[in-house]
Amino acid sequence: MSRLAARVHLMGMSGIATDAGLHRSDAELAADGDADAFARLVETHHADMIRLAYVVTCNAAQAEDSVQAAWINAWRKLPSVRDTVSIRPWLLSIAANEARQILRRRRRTRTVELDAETLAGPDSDPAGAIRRLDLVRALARLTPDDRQLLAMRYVIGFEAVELAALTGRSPSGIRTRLSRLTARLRKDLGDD
Amino acid sequence: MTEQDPFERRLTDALRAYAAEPKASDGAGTSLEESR
Repeated sequence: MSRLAARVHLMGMSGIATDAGLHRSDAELAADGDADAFARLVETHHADMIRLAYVVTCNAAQAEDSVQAAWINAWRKLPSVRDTVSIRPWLLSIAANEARQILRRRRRTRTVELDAETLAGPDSDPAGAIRRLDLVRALARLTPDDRQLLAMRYVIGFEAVELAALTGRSPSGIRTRLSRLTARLRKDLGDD
Repeated sequence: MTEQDPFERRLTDALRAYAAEPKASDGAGTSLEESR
């Protein structure tokens, strides 16, 4: 039994109202079916999930579809989530999985649909910056798994240890994979 | 985030700018029609 669950259990045993003395997180409330708490989770995490899904799919509509599916999935699975403290990485993982599934269903696991909007983008890139179009083309050459890892690391900001916990790999394995990925991008983007 | 080399910093900036492109919906339309 977790410390939190134990505390709730003990409070219940002693007849003390739990809501008065114990703050329950939105994730815990949503797990118990609180739709308002779930709406607050959406408000907090939706934008990051879209960013992540967009890097995985390179397509705004597919990113939106992925995250919609992720929320439905999250609502279903929340009651069985034990660690509601780590809700952010859990939600982001669901969004990434949905994004990869959308690509898989369309049998485009190694290519992405670069729509007109994606290719057009902003008019100019700041001096010294990686050119946007170069980045899009480089991303398109990666696998969805690699794009997910890049986004988790450089967009969301997870460290190798956190990524290892999320993926079930070792931190050193994650570092090696990231190192290879950045070396490849360094070459693709003309920085070697 | 751990210290990055110059290329990683440029990559981070470029990826974050790219990731922020979709005209962000706020999730307000998120439907839970297929409820538990």
